[in-house]
Amino acid sequence: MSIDLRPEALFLGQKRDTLGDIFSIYFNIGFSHIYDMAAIDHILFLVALCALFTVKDWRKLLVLITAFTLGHSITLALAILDIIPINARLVELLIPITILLTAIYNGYTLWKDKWQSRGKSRTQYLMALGFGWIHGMGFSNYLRSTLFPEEKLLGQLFAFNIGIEVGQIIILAKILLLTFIFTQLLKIKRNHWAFTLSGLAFAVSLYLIIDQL
Amino acid sequence: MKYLILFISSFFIAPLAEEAHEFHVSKCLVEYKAENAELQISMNIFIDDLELALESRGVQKLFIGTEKEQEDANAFIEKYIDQVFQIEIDGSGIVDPIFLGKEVSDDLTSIWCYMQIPMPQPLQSLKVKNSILLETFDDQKNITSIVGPENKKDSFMSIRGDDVKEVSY
Repeated sequence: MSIDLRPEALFLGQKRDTLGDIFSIYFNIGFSHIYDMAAIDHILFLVALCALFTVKDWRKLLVLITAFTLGHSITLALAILDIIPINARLVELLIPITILLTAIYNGYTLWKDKWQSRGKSRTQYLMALGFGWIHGMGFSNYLRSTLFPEEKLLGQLFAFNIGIEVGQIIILAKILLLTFIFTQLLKIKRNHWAFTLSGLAFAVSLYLIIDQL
Repeated sequence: MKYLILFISSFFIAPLAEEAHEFHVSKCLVEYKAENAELQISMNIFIDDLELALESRGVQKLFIGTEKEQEDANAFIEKYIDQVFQIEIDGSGIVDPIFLGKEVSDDLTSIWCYMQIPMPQPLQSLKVKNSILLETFDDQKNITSIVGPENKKDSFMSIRGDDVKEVSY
């Protein structure tokens, strides 16, 4: 057995910071749940959601992401508090469907050349909110398998959700950075880049759907 | 045309997403019950993960939680837990818990294993090493919640290379 030299181990018995322990554990679980290649489905959804935007559109993107966050936080909490029942298999199937539909919506927008009106559309905000509900149910499946329901449930839920949001912000920043590199530095046309991202999301989500059927 | 090629080629990278959404976690509650003079342990492990770990140790498929479950499944599970989950009480060496039994979760994906350690003397310190499945998956995380005397609570998360917690009361 290794010797535990962390400060909290050395000062145990004098200072017991269980609340801090719980926060860091569930923050870590939330963060690593989304900031990981195994979370490819959530990441792809963010890719599809951002595909039409660049750094300059950050205000519109912020509203869109807030809608998604609001959506998934609501269902995550409702599911963990046992207010809504969750069918894990159905949710796992619905998640790639949300990616597919977002990619199709992007393709339609690009094809119809509604480029200028993008972001003004309420459809996209409603989509982000509604699809957020489904992703939140997916997060709840994961959180549930690590929870101790008899203990500070809200604290665990809160820390997990913050972990998810921080992971999400980093992923978004990376997507926008890639968009900047490809469209500004490598001079790829914006609609070509948006089409590429959406096509990637479309292909992978279709694969994920077929894989589950 | 080049976008069509790009689009089609993304179908070939799609299978990389195969492992999507497999998560590797387990949880364990270690609870001191002064009134029963015992330490109660309940552990939740995903069945498919556990079977994979056992198979990599040369155990045949056990079909845990199904009608085909092997008769000696419990013995293999107990042996595995003894090897990767260790408890030291009051600094006096590793104690093997008594395996009471297991129960399949409602959704049939995981099992709860119940164990017990008699505690004739009051608990003073506890050292827990929880390396369940850590050798099987590099992203495995085990959460252990320890409830000591007077309901004092501690939690820790095991990952590869960091799987021990020591508590004194």
